[in-house]
Amino acid sequence: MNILLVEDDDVDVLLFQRALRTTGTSSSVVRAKDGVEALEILNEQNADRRVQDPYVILLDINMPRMNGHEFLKELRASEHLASSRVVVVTTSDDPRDIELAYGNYASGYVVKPGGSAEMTEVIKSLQQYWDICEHPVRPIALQAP
Amino acid sequence: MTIPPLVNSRISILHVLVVALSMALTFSAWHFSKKQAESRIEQRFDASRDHIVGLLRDRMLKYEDALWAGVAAMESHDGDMTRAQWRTFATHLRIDEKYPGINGIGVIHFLSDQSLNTYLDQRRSEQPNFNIFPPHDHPTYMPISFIEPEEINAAAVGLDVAHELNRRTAALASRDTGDAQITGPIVLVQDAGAMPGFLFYAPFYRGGVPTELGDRQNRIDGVVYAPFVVRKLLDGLLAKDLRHTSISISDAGQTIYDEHSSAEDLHDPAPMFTEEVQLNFYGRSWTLDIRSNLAFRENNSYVQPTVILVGGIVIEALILSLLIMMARANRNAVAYADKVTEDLRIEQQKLVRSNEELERYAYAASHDLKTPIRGIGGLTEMLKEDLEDYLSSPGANPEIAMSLDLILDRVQRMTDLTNGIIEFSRVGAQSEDCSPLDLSELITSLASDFGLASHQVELNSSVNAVSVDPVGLRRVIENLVGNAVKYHEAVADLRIFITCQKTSDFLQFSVADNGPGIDQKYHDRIFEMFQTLRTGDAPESTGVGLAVVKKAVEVHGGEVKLISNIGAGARFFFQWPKDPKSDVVQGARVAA
Repeated sequence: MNILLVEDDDVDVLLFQRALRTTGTSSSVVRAKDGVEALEILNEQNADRRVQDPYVILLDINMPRMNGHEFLKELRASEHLASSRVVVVTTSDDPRDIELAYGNYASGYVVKPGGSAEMTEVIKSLQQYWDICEHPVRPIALQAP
Repeated sequence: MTIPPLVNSRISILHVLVVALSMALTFSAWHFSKKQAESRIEQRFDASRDHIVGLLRDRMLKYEDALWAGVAAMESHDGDMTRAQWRTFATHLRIDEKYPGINGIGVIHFLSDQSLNTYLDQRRSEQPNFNIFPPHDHPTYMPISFIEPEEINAAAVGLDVAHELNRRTAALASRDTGDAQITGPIVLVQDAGAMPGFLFYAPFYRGGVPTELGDRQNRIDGVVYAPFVVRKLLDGLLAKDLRHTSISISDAGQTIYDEHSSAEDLHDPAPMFTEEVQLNFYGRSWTLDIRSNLAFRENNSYVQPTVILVGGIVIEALILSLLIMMARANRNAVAYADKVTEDLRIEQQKLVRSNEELERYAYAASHDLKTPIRGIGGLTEMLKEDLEDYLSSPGANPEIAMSLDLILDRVQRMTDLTNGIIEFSRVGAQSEDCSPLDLSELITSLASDFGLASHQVELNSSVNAVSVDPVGLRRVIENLVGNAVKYHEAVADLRIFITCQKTSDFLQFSVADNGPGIDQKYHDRIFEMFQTLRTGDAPESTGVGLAVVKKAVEVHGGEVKLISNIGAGARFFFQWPKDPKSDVVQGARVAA
């Protein structure tokens, strides 16, 4: 499972990595601190960090510089990134955020779990999703969303 | 009807009409009153004129009567009276007393050359120095034989009136007509003042009254006459100061009497009325020029129309200024009201803005707090996991495990509090496009959410579903039920009764439980934010729930009330807006 984790909070990153470890999930995780950094990685402008194909993006909403919604909008507007799989993982349970996320074709919306036990469940679900996904291969032909 | 405004948008056409109408009325009243006054005054002048003309006629008639009395006396003496007899007659006539204005009464005999000497003898026997004068060419002599009172008329005795055209013409006319006649303007010889005068003749004949001209000319004996000074005649007529008119008289263009002089006391240089009256009598035509004088003006100046006009105009001015003042006051009031309204609007906007800012702030702050709280919680959990081996070992310090649990507990409370603030700030932000809230479905899901048996929550409602802010209503009922659950010591015994009755204005809800009840002294406090009746250590008590309930109900104009006593359960009442569309009333009793 190749993951681009777009998350500004270090503790959440720690919790996520621990849950990956706990569940024994084999994965490669690239972490971006905000939308801008995530786009740089996806556009291969960062020589050190590359996300492997196929990948799934785990996206936080509330972030500095470029938040999740802005990132998602840019992503869907980009010719070769438009069909990337995105699962939103955020603290917000605001219906407006949920609506906006699905409006930009998020594959899922997960409210951040309270503890590590719940995080483990989230990781398991994500693995199942990964396994049944037909992963697109880049470059991806432009298609109407 | 809207009245189009004129000046400064406040004086209307109606106002202008009122003033114009009132002005028109004033002018009509003034005009009418003026006409009436003028007509009244003209009538007075006419009466004055008729009075003086009448007096003059009457006076002349009276003099004529006196002359005819003289004629009668002469004829009764066959035309031959002595000077003494005439004096007796004249004395009995009491001229001074009865005929004011007359200068005297006398006799003129008509003589021919043949009768002249006999006549002179006869006269001189009574008055030795009697002479006829002055000489003239006319064939007839007309000497004045007697005149009484003789003292003031002595200069006239013996005067031959035939010597002068005016005197002679009238005398002959009197002879020929048999009527009384007056002369044209003359100056009496006995009048030292040489003022205009005239003679008044009445003829007497020998042998009875002749009817033919020739007969009259043959049998004429003479005339009884009276000399007049016009001024004296008029003075005796009516005292000037009692009259309101002045008069001037002219005969054949010659003025014989004139009061229209600026020297006169009551002279009016611009008389209000003037009128000329032709008086045809005794062979002459007198022109009477009658004018109103100052006394007339004084007695007939009218102020009523002026008072009406001035009063009317003053009233118009008052009405106008009143209208203007009213318009100004109205304008000021409207302007003030507008200003107050605008101020209120601005204040309200400020309040709304400030409220919104506060809610946004609370929401954002709570949201931002969530992440660090989650972080603390996550890290604590990780620590706990990492220390699992140590904590379960016999030599472990039990306080470490306890401290970690306490941290996790406080993190949970903080999360609950921030969630509560977020929920509170969301109240009123109604989400649209929500499906109506089915009440029986609601209690079923609530019972399930709170882990209650279906019989523990009962609904008695006259409506099935509510479409006005279903999310808000769900939040309210959820919080009230949650509250009941939270404070009940033995949840298995808990009973909750929810009712909903439709009134004419709104839906009346009640949520009752059989819990411990709430002391009356806390009834106000429990609705305030972060107020809880539990101690800080007790779980799930943030003090937000009832504040959310109160706010959600009040946003819709309703009110939350509580009836409760310790040990007797609690019953919350609140109103919710009616669905404007559905009006179907259905009795339903549903147990979840």
